[in-house]
Order: sequence, then structure tokens, then C-alpha cells
Amino acid sequence: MAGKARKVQRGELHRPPGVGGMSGVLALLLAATAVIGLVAVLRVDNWGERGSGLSERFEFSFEELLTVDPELVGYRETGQVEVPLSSVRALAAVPGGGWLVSGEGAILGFDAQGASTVRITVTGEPTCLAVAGEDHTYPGRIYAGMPSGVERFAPGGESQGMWTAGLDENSRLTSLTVFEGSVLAADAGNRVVLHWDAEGQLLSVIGRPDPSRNIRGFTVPSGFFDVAMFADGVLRVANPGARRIEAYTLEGDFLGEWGEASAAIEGFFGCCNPSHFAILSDGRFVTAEKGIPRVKIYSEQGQLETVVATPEQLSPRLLASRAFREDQTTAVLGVAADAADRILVLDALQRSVRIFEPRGGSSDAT
Amino acid sequence: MPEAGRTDRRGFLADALRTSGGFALVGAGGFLVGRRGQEELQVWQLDPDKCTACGNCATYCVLDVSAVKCVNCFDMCGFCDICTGYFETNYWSLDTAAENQLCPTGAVIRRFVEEQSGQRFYEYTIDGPLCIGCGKCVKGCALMNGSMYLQVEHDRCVNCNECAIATACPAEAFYRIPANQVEIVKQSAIGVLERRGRQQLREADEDPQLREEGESLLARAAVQRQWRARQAGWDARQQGEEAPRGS
Repeated sequence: MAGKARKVQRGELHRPPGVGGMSGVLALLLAATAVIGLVAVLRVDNWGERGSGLSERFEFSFEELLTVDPELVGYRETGQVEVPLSSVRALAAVPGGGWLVSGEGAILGFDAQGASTVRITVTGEPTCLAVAGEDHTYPGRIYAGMPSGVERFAPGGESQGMWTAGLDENSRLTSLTVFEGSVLAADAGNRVVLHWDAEGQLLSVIGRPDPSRNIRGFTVPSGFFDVAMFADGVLRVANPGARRIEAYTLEGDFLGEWGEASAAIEGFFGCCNPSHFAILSDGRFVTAEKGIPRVKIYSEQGQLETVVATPEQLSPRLLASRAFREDQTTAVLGVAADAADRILVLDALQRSVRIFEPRGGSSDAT
Repeated sequence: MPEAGRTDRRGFLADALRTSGGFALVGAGGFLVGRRGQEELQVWQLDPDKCTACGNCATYCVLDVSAVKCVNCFDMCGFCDICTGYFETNYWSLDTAAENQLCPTGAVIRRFVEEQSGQRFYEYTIDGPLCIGCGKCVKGCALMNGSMYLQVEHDRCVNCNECAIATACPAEAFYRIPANQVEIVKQSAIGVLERRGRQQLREADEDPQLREEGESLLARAAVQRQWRARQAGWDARQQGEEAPRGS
């Protein structure tokens, strides 16, 4: 009897019609849920590898400041000399050729080819350096700004003592320059320029606010405050908080200023630039900026002429990884012009002096 | 002579003394452990010298609005008119219009302080409830003085055993620190705090408030120096342990 229902045996599972299909759907749903759950768990990014997920509005973007029109770049790097010190701090050109670099516990001298000439052991880290030229009372003498004063060294490296006239607990020497019988230092702590004779006697304090002499004073938001004397006998001072370079007589009279605040290549970036500057033999200015590291040349009147080194050259990691912490240290560069008007840039992270020369110059021909 | 199974008075007193001594020891131990635990309550904090302001603090915190906020260390701040932590790099004008501001939530507040040497100086503070800890201002400020940095706000942080941000931090900048330490300041700020503390003590003379402030700054700097020293030792040991494994 084919049509007769089979009797359910004892122990056999009784399945009403249609129930087998329902359990299949349930199993399928369970499996799908398990798969979705697994995928969800696997997709959770506990380790932050896929980034923050914030929109572009939250990204700090400064790419446009890092790129420089190649037409504006008039120099190329022709050499690099490593400085065998654990840290580097200050750079100064030697008037006859070569340069000095200071770092932790030492001042090192190099000739124009980068060969070592002198090593002076010091206590602490000199924060600034200057070497006297032939016009100075003591040609070849080395002046070093130390935390406690200005130390003098003979050209061979023998210490000749230290002076502290005009300095106090707040003093922080950031730059030194020498001219004939004068030694001048930028004191970032007190925001003034101190003027001594070659024996260390304080002659004047330049830059104290004095409306009657049209002197507004210097604004130094961070520890970068540079000075330089030129052959014309005029003192140039970077007023970083005002994004300017100002000119003074050695008596402290204000003569003029140039420079403007701008993120564009023509101006000085951010709150406080230029961080360093030097003067070429023809009176043009070489400026170095921090933050967006770049080295540029301005005419005597303050017109941008050319770019020496771009942010990409000075701080490639800024472009590559956005690891801004490391690049903050490289961004602050010392700059100097040597006897041949080559531009020397102190690279703090690489601990080296990088040499830049004009494109199309004699070095290009060789 | 005591009967078997019974204790005489002397024995009873000796047992009682031993028992109460035991309880006293356990109690004292528990009290000391409790006090020690209280002193060493640990909280999460991030080391601003390691932080890369990647933005993960804003999105990985278990709270709707992150417990990580920006702070401005005034001792490092230049109070500048052109603050790279406040203004977009391509700002239109130096005012508080939204299009000129770097902060997407408008959490950085700019207030005029004074004009000196022909320059205008401004104070920059953080509006805590508006700050989401994205770190955009931190990146901008890092181009100049670096006075703005991120810190865990302890009155918001729920102090998870396993902090989700710490796990997702690519710079491994998060640490457990003693709760009474509160903060981790930048190494460069320690020296600034010490200099200002010493200056205030020099100038204090008969001013007890100035003296107190100076001493407070020096104490704050000392706590940070101690933590940095301990951390350096810990990091060195970690490196020492990892080196054989890696080699």
C-alpha cells in the first residue's frame, strides 16, 4: 500500500511536514550571522593601522608651502662635511676660509675643503661663535657664547678667559659678530644686542625700546635671535617676531628695516623668522627659516632674488612621512657665507655642514 | 593539671595573644597594602615628546568625545600674532573669522593681551568641551614653538584597564603614570619651568604668593624630571630585554 503513511517507530524522530526546511533556513541564518560577526571582528582596527578616519578638514596640510618653483632655485648642493660631535649647535665662517662648528663639549675647525684644522675642548655647549677677521684688534681670535659668558680663544684654541659684563641670569646668547674693535652679541633672554670692545668692556646696549629714538625693541618669541656686522659698519639684527631684518649703527641708532610676514616664498613664515641670516660679500642677505625650512637670498633692499635650498632638500622626511617631530629638529638651521661666498648650512639632524654654490658657477663646469 | 582536651588559663591567654597578634599583623598588612595601592593609583597619560598628533586620539577613545584634549603650555608659548597653531597656513587675514582658523571645531580661543615693541601679543587657550583631540593645532604649533600638545583630561577619562587609544597609538606614546603626577610635559618645557621658577624666587623678596608660585613651578619640574629619569631606565631595560629576542 504505497499511499498509506508509515507508522513511526519507537525512538525515531518525528518530523511534521515542512519542519526540515525551516531548520535548514535557521542553520543558514546562524551561519550567516557567524560569518558576519567574524568579518566584523576581523575588520575592527584596534591597532589604528587604518588611521584615524577623520575627514580631510581635520588634516593639517602644508604641501603647498613645501613646493618651490624650480625656476626660483639658483643654487645646488656641492658638498657635505660631517661633524664628528654628538650634537651640533652653532656655525661660523672663518674670514680667511673654512668654518667652525660648536657642539656638546667642543668647537671644531675645518678648512675650505672640509679638512679638520682645530679641536677646542670646552665645558658645555657653545651656543654661538664668531671668528675675528684681519680688521679686528685680535685677528683670528675665536669668540664663543657660553651659558655663563663670552669666552675668547686664540686661533690655536688656547682659552684667553671669559667676560660677563652686561649679562645677567636671564641672558641667553644666540649670536655673535665681530667688527674692527667691537664684539656684539644677541641676547635672546633680554631681547637686546650687547656691544663690547675687544677686551670685554661693555660699550652699549642696542635695541632697548626708546620711542624718542624710534626704537621699538625686538620681539623674540623663541630662542632664535641673530646679528651680523657688514663691512659698511652697519649692524643688522633679525627681529624674528616682527619677521624683519633691521639695521642699526654701533651707537644703537635705528637706520631701517625690511621683510614681511608671509607663508609665500617671498616672505618670512610663521611667528618668528628668519631664525638665522648671514651677509654675502656684496651685501646681499642669506636667510634661514625654521618651521618650513628654506634658505633664500635677498638683495640689499630686501627683494627676494633666489632660493638656495628648498624644504624638500633640507628636510625630506617632512615630505615623505609627515613625521613632524623629527623634522622640527632639522628645521632650525645655522647659516653662514664663507670667504668664497659659498653658502654653508648647518644640518642639526645629519650633524653636517652642507655647502651650496650658484648653479652655472665654476663648480658646475668641472 | 588540665584535663585532656581542655585548655588551662595560661594556654588560653597565649592562644588569644597569638590569634590577636595574627589579626593585627594581617590588618596592618592590609592597611599598608591599601595605602600603597592608593598612592600608586595609575592613570593614563601621553608623552607629548612621542606624540605625532596622528588624530587617533579623536576617534579611538571609548567616549563619544575623546578624553584627550589639547593644552597650551604658556611657558613655551610666544603669544604671537601669527600663531601657526591658530591660523591656517594660507589664512586670508589675521582675525578670528572661521575661514582663517586652523581648528575645525573652533576650540582654540585667541584673546588680545598687549602691544609691545610694535607687535601685538595674544593669549591662546583651549575650549575643552569643543576640543576633540584631533591634534591639528598641535601640528601647526610644532612648526614654531611647539607649546600646544595633547594630554589626557583625567576628569573625563574613565581610566579603562586597556585604553583603546593607547592600543591604537602608532607612536606608543601612552603611559600609566601615578595619579598625583597628573601630566607629562615636554622635555623642553621642564627647563622653561625651572627657569621661571628660579626667576620668581629671585624676584619674590617679601611676596609670599610669588615665592609659593616659584616653589610650585620647581616642584612640578622636579616631578617631571623624576618621571623622565625612571622612564629612561625602564625604556633601557625594555630595549635590553628585546635585543636578545630580536637578534
